Amino acid sequence: MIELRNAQMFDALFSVSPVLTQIPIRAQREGKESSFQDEQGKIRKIDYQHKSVTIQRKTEDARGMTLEQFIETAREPGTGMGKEMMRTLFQVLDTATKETGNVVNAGGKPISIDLFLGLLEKIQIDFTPDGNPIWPSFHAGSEMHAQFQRLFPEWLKDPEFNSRMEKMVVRKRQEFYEREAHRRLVD
Amino acid sequence: MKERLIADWLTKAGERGGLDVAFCQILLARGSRILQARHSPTENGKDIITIESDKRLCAYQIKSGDIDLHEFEKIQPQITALVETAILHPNVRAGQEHHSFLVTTGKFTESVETRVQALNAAWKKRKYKPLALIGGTQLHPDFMKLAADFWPEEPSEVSSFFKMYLAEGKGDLDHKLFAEFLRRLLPEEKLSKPIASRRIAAAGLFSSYLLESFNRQGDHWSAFCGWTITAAHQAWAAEVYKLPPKAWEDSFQLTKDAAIAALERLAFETIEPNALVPHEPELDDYTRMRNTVASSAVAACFLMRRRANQNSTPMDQGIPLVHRLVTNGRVFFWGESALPNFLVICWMLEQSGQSWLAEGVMLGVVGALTKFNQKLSANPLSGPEVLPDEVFSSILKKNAKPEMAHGRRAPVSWSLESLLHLLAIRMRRQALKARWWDITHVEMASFRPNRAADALLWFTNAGEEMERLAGKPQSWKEFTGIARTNDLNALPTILRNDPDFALMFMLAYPHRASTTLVKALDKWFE
Repeated sequence: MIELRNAQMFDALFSVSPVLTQIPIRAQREGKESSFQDEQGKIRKIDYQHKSVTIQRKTEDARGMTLEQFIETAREPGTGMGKEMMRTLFQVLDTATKETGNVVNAGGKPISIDLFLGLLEKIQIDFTPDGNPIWPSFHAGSEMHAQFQRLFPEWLKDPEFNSRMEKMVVRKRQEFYEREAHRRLVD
Repeated sequence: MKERLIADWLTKAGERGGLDVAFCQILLARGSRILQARHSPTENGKDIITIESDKRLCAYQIKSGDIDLHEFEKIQPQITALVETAILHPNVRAGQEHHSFLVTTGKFTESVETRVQALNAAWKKRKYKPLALIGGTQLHPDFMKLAADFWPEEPSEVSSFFKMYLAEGKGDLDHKLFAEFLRRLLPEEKLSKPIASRRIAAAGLFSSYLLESFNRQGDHWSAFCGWTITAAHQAWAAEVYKLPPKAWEDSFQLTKDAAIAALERLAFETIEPNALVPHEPELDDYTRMRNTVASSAVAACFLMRRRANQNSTPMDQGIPLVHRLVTNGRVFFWGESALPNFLVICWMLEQSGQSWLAEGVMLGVVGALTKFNQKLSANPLSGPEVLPDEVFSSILKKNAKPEMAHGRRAPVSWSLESLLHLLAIRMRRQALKARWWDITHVEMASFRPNRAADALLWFTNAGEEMERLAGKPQSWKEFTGIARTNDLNALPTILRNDPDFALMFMLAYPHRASTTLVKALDKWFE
């Protein structure tokens, strides 16, 4: 029963957003402090925060739960924790992007080609061994998302947009190869 | 409960790695000084030699089980040697008289007692001291007394203790539970030095109880790990309580000797012909795991004996065996907890003139780690805290029931940095250069406890886990400089001062095989 409960709880947690399943996770084994080195070589301390979710259940004398109730009870804290994780994730991203200047502000206007390409310019893009870009995930509000879904197919028909995209990919690929060339042992 | 458990243990305890170790702890608690505690053909019937607190010189022959007249007649040559041959020891004056004791876990029959009375009368005429008999019923109160205040009391602790005591003794030592028990026995609180010292001795005694089943079943590797974990906790307590050497060193040495004895039993078994033939149907990965552990025991004994300036040792017979297992792919890097086993094998190969093979093994492990533990790997090798039996169980479980796919794992390697440093020390620049691109894709993890002594504990909450990346680019000159530098102060005192124990510790605590410890051992055992 505990196994079933835990499986449902984690399933609910990771179902909150596909982003959560994309983030690599490693449980800390020992100690209470932790640090890592980012791609720029900077050592960063991890700021652990205590997170909790509260759930309430009515209990009745001499009566347990139906399977559906049991599963629902198991999933509720999972969903709560998943939402809490997403909220924290966006807070951290907000702080980090402000710190690095990687913020693109539409200023309340609809998303444009310039804004979109400006966004891509700020991102480090990796490439497959065949030279194809590994596009990152984008996160947008529901309004922006709807706009983007409507506009992007139109942009793809625009030769100027395609030409600017192509030039950017070539440049990003070159930057990637230059980065990769540093992965070597020198004198 | 305690009385019955000790009585039960006394019916099961063997003379080697069982009663002998526990009895020595009792002698230490009585204030005796142990001059020798070993079983060997040259012992002249004396397993243990002590100087008692009243300065009497004593010698003990240790047996197990009931002794009837038939059994007594079988061992009579040893008894005669025990009583009649003089003790040869640097700390004993030539010709000094000694008192002799025959100790067993069981009972002596009346006919044996009568025979001993007769023998004593004859010995008296010839000016020898009489032989005294110590049976299980006489030992029982001493065992009770030493650990009287330290038995587990809380129901959960009692339950854990019994779970360990009732282990089958075949690969089911629960390292974590065992270490937790020792940790409760040796708490981090202000203790008077005599109490701390008694607790350290009691740790050895309780370990005799808990490791008996492994000793009896011939699971020497588990016994070795258990004794080494005990010795590490004793040394931790001594360092944290700031005890003088005489308050703990003898107990520690006894425990360490028990660990070495278990390791040597495994090593000698391994070099017997056909010792590694599976006795029942088993999967090849399991066989290769066992081969790896067994050959690392041979290698560790070889290294310790060589370091003690024994140029030629019985373990030399193990060289062709280990060479054959390695070259035929009969060893298995099951996960990062295999690193210590592989390292001792490599050091043995190097000392026997096969550096090329050892470096090939190291590069092979680097290849496996950069392939399976790079950042985007979906199926990384397990970490150093996952012991071989657990790895094997999880392989079987995965095959039986696919795991629910939830979240991505963030693979790291706990071993890669150590191996890179060893290869840099060996000037394998070209080999590393060819692999550097792959190496830069691995997060190299390490753990540093806040207090160096805490590395001796199985687990501590006070410390930092660190993940670092290889340089991009990395200067070879700078890297070799880093590889050749080692801060030994990061190690607990006992590991800095006792290379043999440091080697044993690395094998029994694979998750503590830090780069500092590995490089220190590399230097000590070169």
